[in-house]
Amino acid sequence: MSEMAPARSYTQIVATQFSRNKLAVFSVHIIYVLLFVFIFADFLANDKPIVMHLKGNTYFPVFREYGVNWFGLNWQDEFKSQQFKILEDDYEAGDWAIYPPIPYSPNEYNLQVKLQPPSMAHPFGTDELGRDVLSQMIHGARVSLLVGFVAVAIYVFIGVILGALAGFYGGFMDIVIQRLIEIMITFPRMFLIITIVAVMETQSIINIMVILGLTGWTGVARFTRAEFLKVKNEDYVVAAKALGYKDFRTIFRHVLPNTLTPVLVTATFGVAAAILIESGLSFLGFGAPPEQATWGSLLSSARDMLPTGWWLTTFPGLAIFITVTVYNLVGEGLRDALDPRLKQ
Amino acid sequence: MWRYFLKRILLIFPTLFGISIITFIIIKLAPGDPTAFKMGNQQTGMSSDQNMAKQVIEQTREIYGLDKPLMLNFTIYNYEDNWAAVQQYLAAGHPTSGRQYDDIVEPLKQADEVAVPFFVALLAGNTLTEAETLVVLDILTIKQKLSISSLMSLEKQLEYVNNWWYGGIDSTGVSRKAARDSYQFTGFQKFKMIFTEAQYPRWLVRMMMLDFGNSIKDNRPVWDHIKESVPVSLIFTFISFILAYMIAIPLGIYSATHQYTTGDKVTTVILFILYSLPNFWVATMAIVFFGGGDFFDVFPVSGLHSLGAEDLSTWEYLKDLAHHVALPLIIWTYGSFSALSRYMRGSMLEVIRQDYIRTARAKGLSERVVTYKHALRNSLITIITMLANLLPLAISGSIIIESIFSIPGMGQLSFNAVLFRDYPVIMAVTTISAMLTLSGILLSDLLYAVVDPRITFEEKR
Amino acid sequence: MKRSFLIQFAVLILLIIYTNIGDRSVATLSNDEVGDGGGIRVELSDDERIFESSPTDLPPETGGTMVMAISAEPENLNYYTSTSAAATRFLDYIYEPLLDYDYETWHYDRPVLAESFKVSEDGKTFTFKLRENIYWHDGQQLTAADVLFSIKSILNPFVDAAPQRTSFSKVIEAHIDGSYIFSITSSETYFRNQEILGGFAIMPKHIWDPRSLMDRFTLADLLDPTITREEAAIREFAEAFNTHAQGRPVGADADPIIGSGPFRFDKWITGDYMSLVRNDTYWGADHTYIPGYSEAGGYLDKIIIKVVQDATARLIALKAGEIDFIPRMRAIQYFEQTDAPDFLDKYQKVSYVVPAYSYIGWNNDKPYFSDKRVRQAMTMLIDRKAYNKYIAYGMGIPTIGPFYIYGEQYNHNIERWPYDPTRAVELIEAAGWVDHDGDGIRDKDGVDFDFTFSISAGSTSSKYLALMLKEDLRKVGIVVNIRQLEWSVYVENLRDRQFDVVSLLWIGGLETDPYQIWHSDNIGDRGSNYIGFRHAEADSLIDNARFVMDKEQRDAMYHRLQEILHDEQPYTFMFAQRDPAAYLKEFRGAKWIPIRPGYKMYSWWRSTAAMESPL
Repeated sequence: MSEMAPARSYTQIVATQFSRNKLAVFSVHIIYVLLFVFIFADFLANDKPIVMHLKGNTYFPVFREYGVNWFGLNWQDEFKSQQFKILEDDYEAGDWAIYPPIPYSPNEYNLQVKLQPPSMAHPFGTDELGRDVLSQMIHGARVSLLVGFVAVAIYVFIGVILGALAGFYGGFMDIVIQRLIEIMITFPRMFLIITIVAVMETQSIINIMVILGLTGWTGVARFTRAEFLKVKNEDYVVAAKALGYKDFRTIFRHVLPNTLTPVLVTATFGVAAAILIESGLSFLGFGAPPEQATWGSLLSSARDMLPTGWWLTTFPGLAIFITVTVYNLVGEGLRDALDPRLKQ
Repeated sequence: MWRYFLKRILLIFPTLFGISIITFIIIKLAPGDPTAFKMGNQQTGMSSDQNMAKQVIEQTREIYGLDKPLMLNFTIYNYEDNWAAVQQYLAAGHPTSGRQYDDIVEPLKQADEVAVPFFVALLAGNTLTEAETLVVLDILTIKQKLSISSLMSLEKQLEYVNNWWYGGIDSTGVSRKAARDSYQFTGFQKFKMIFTEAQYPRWLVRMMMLDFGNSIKDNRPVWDHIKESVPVSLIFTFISFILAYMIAIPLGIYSATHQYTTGDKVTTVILFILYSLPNFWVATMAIVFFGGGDFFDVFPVSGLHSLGAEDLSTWEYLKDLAHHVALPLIIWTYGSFSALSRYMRGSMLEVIRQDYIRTARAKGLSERVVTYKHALRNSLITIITMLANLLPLAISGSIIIESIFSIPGMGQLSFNAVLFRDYPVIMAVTTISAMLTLSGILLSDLLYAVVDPRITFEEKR
Repeated sequence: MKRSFLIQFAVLILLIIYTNIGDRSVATLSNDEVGDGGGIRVELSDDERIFESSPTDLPPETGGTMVMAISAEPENLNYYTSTSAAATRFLDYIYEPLLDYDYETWHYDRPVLAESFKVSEDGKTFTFKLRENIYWHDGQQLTAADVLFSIKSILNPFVDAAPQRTSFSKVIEAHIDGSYIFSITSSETYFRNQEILGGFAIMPKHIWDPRSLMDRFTLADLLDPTITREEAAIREFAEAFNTHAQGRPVGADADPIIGSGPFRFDKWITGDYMSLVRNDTYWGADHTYIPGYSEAGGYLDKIIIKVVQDATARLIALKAGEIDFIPRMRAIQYFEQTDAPDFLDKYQKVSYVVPAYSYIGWNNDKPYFSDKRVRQAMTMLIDRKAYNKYIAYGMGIPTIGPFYIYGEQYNHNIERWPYDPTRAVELIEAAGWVDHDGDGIRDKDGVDFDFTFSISAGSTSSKYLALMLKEDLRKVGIVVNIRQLEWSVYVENLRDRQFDVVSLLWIGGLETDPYQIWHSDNIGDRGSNYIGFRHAEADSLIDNARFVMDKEQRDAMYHRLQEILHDEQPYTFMFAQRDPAAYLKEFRGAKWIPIRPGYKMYSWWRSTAAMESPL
């Protein structure tokens, strides 16, 4: 169908196809922005300065925080209480600090400024405890996106492996895995998730990722199984078998790559769906723990404030819907680009 | 083909069995206990009049059979070993209350009536330490409902047990029958108890007779709850399905026939935007803006009927129902357009590229005829088979929408059951849902085979 | 395109940084901005215990319907087996007890179904003489046999009423003498005997036990396990009782619940509403027994109790006129979403007091909280005033003890612990919690001061409290982890004492017995003293006070107990409860009393004059 020069690889063709879809390309850019926020959240919104010059010494409190949290370092004695803003009162000449653009951490509360509409100081307003909504959203982006990525990674992993085994070996293995799939899909998903979250006793975002992962793999598995059924009798697989390659190697080196591209599409849609499910769980009180803001939890705790606290629902709501939409648009673009049958 | 379907039907049973075991284990592993709600709830707080005493909890657990082991009751045979474990535990000086203590004493309590003669013999044997005596009394008291309490002196308690076991004249001067005679069991009776005195086998036997038991929350048959809630959810599922098909399919066809035009892109984006709006958020906005608060008063915001609707004429009643259903129904439906119309678009595009469509075009048939007569008919096949999904949806309902709009449907029933740890309801919902889904899958395969003659189910290649 | 986009983004970030350098100050709430939200604050005191919030310019009228909203439907309407407060409140209009509170003296001695009663010398036997003119809603006469039947039902070990049964665990005997004399005996002298033995609702025997299964058993039989085990009739009755149709009269055609009270059962449409109609043949219609309350038992023709689960939907339904009265709103709704002038014209907002208090319970057996200095310090680290003002909108009434704040048991001569972080840190350090290893977290004997605050999912106020505490304690080197648990798990952890800190609400009454919550007998074995408070003097005070029948003497003992609790701080007592409500101004006679739920519909009436006047 394509009149391209033979030198162009499959990937290049797909890339060209994809880049023709303006909407999808635009969506990818928004995902870049989200990734930027995801990675640099601590530098965008934090109550600790990025750089601080105090009494002749220069400190990097945000970096230090990573050290404290991950590498067992301790805070310097002057910062034990981690109240950098109070230190400002004892500044001497020559002391200065550069704060992140949003100089509030997500859990830093100030009752005196509770429920403030958007202003210069708080671009997205404040909530019932006087916490900065934008800061919570920036850190919430981390959790919400992470839920999407990790959950999908888990279920793609499970789905591909089970699907591959079922499709490649067939027979008894196939029957067992098919039953597993059936068992999985017969549970109403939300119901199953809630039941399992209840079993976990403690709330943690990791539990939610794992549960979403463990309950979501059936689609991928069925899909992969079908692909394997299709390719397993093709010449190159038969050839690999004839060459005496071990089964495992055959599966992963030769057949799997061909099935991965459609899985990628499913995964993109999956991230979007996971973000939505997380928000629904937050609404039901089964989401992230209270000190961890997610977009879903922001949105659900803001429900009570309507209609007065419009900014509390509007911004997290927009964040969810923009993110979910762009992921879906990218997924759609990918699907169109990958599927030769859908090309004109 | 029939052989294939017979095989499929037979395979439903192992799946069902697997599902019931998995659910049973999941919900039993869950911490929390239905008796918690007998002690007050978070909305009203806890009443300081209520004693959360152990006895209260154990009695309530017994009424609902929650004191039995989960799968099979082997404590019937090995209570002597369990007793040795308790003796060790006590000898090590561990506390005689709290979770750890309960866990170790639990198996002895589960052996229940079978172990009673053993315990009475222990007491009579006079070889026990004081701590051990107390444990034995604890086990006997609650399960056999002896009216002794730990506040009584030890001698008095022992005397009571003695009187109870061997009969005799009690404190009021009345002669009592010896309890000992009703605690003799034959080997077969004991063997039967392995199954009858355990939770899962009990449940399984009842379920085979389609008896789902009584809800722990209100002691009513679970079946009654389901009969009440299914029609409510069914209204929504059914209408929403029709709506979704009526709107999404034309949109899908439009997108497919106008691929890559502005119209296609606009519909795509709009559908994705709809899909992306969290429904609880939209529902709250809708209530605030259309429920007659400070903005427009268009829709009622709670329940399915106005007050006194049951006295209205049928027509008025339906009108009232429609008025109440409209808002939740819209919110129930809007998110499903996107998937469905994407599906339609994909399957339509696929068909359009088939050779026979090209042939039809080449024959000089108008684009209209080609699209609507040939392409549509074939691409609808996949969509129609999705109808089978209606079955399980009818029973799952929507937890979120039902709780926001106070709709007493299946979503709420199952959600409350999970919160309450109302095991019989949870088990019933999952089992029925599983049966419906499995039949749905089967039905969809069958439909597929019927409408598409190219499909065969014989062994491939 | 990609590059240009990133540049735009960078510019945007720079802009934000730039604006950030500018003015960062924002308007803050002034100190006394939180007022009454345009509503009436019910103030009760030791003498004044009925508060009327509606104007008294018009004479009461009979008629009209009231629609009120509740958040959750009761699971059944069986008075003894139902565990939901909604059921009890509903059934209190239908069933009546022998005695009730006297609304003037607030003693539990107003005869209701009883005409008079006698207490034996030792305070153990109560003999009630029933009125002879009481008829059930179906026309049958109410006699002593019904009373005896009721107590037998509660004590039947197979009836699913275990929580109720514990109150009656000391009852040893009850018998009747003719149709109108009922006497009941408890094994011990106890100051709450009168309230317990005269306070249970009487249910009709001819409806609930038509086959008279329970007749042949005496109370002593029911208490004897050999008999209850052997006699199938006892179990059979209990099963019939637990699932009796009267306990669930659902649908438009169900047989109504038969009671004796001023309201009759009308309908229960599940998932929708329950309703009551006035009992026009009420036995007490010509009997003025509640001062200021309706003489006919009630004014309203009909009371509809509608289930609206979602709080937002509840308020919207009120504004849209679908309901007339919300007995419990959220504070934020009361203060932020109902202050428009046209709302205030049409609706009356009231915040009323109920005998309940919120607290933070420190598990005294955990290393962090075993020292009372630490517990005192914790109390001083919590800015209760700011919390009350900003989170609770000033709704809380600061309290420092476990007793009803306007009751005689409460000791007002104790000074509250102040909010004083400096002193708190000194106390914590005095108790040995210092940062020995320099990791920024205080520790003692190798244990970091790092505890978990358990909150129940769905409780916004404790969530905010926990979040504030986490931030505040971090600054003094203490780590707080927040753990949100479902209610059923939460309660299980309480019973098993698997927690560090909890935040909860106790609901009490005008006069309560601290035995269950504060006596060391109730530690472990799933007793209610789950925080593990042990104090020898407190124990002996509690033990002795139970048998002191002289109120003043008893109150003096409780005042001392409160001093001990204040010094020990096993709980940080937060606030006595105030519930915000709103109702249509057409309703008059709205009176608030300190007994749950805080109001009785007997006194309410709907004014046609107020309805017609233009608003």
